[in-house]
Amino acid sequence: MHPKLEHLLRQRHLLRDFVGRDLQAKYVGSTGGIAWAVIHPLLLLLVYTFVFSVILQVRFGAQGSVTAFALYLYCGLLPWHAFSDSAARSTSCLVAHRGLIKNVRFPAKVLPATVVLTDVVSEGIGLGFLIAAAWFFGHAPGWSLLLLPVLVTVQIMFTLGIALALATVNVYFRDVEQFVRVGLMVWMFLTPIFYPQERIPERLRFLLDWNPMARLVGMYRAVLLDGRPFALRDLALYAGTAALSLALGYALFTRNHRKFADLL
Amino acid sequence: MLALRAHDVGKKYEVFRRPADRLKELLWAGRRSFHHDLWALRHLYLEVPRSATWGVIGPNGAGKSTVLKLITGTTRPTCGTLEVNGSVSGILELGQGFNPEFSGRSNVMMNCSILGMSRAEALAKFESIVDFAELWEVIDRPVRTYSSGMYLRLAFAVAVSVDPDILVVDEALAVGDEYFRGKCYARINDFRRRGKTILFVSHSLGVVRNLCDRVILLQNGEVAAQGTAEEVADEYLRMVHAQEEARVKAADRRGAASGGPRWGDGRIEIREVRSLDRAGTERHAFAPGDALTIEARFRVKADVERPVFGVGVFRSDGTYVSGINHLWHERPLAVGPLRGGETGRVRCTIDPLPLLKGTYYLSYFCYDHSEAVPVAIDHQERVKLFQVVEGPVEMHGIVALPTRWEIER
Repeated sequence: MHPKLEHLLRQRHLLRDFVGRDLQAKYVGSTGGIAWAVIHPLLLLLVYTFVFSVILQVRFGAQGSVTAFALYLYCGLLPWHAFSDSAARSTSCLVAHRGLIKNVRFPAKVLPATVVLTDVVSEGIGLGFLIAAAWFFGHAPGWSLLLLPVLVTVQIMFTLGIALALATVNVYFRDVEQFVRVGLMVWMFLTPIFYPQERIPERLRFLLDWNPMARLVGMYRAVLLDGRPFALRDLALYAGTAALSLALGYALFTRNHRKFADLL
Repeated sequence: MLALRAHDVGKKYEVFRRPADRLKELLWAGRRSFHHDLWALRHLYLEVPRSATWGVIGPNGAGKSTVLKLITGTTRPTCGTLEVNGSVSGILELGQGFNPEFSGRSNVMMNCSILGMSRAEALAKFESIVDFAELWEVIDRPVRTYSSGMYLRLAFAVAVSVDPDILVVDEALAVGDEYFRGKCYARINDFRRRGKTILFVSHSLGVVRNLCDRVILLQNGEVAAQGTAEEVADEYLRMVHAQEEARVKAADRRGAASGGPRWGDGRIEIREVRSLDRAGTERHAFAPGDALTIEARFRVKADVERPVFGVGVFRSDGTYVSGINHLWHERPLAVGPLRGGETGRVRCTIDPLPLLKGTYYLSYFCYDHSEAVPVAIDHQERVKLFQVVEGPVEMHGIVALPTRWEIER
């Protein structure tokens, strides 16, 4: 077999084993098991719905009901959490596995990739739950659901690029973890997850155009809740950003990965 | 055919005193430097033939592990060329990638994957790994329930299950009890017999002498000597001796040995306990077979009828090795009454020194033997620290017993 191909194949095996273990560590060790994949976002959903819909009276959707708000919120939370959890965890993943990197010859990019894929699997469980709930409340899944894999794919590209970049930079400057935590918090509130997009004042709308996550969340809602395909322009712009993110993140990582063992 | 070839290989680390200095240097974009260079290894030339077993020895911090990491490829040389012909597997630090929450079985499979095996290969090797570690009873229990010995056994078993062309081993990893150590060496010998190239880092000249065809001696990141174990042995022992001397001297200065309890009626004061070599100069590191003289100064404050001076020798783990005084001796030396105001020195020479490699401490005491039960005058625990370094002959244990061998056949 061609050595390059063999290398790729090995990385694939390794990635599968790492993701498998990461998922096991997340769910199998605890008493609740896999149920936590549903319980955790569900509890968050309850809290957020209570705060924003019942207390702050944020209303949107045609009916303006609490369930419509809950679905809207959940549909935004799922991709956001997959992204932000990955960004936060991948920042420290190389430092956390420093023993491996220093002592074993080992393709380190498997580590951020593992983080991203694990979170996507968790998101997938949540999405299944969301589709079922939406169906129950009258949003029968339409053919637009077939577009979901496209969204997940570009989302993985975008997240992976950022994960690779953050993991690299954090090897040099450990403070990055702190910045990332604060940055993600700000980013979350700048993304229309808890509030309808229309609530943003006209003069601040440009923020949405520059926020790839707002675009992604919007596309998720179109496909899952409105039962219509997203605007092709949105997909093109997001996919472009994702490709750029992946290219830059990958380049940054591969330029530096030989130094990791010395720096950790 | 060469398995390894290094041509003027060097490894430099950039050391930043504070993390912020790295940022400063980045912002200055190379116009100012905020780090200093640390050469862990320099001017390494090696030509290791296929199927050879080479040893790398040297005092701590000489660059041994840097050599290993360069060869296994976890780090890259800053300069020079390093050719490695064949697959390499390194046993550097055991148990990397083990997750204590998971079962031994799951950890073995995962570790195999990390070391580059496919699932099928890992499954095929699983049985022999657990056989080697002898952990069948606990293999499905979480690794966190293992004793540290069991943990290391499992990790070692996984590490040696890889079948590379070139094996790189840090000897500190042949771990556990004597039985398992024996198994580890047997496995390494097995690699040798099958014509694999082995690079072996060790702190023990004895092991290197038994296993290695050739030895590289490193000091301060450079090759100080190269040759058979016999050829570099003296140089190595001298180096270790000097390093240990400095280390133990510093520890002794800081008072690592003092702080032990002291009691007695104080009629004689023992003031300064020193360890001297044959020439009478103070030293802190000795080799087995050297002459060790323990000298103490004393000052008499009040008359003592039958003073007896003595020494207790302890190993660092607290093992009481020997208690000696000049009365309990084949040729007892009686000291007459000592009168108040007198001063003097007591010298006790142990020649040849039968102690083997290790750290030892001394207790010094003076008792009055004029009564049926000796009365403590000045008893000081742990007054002096000294080191025994490895000798030219391989020996195991605490002491070298005087022996005479005969074999009838």
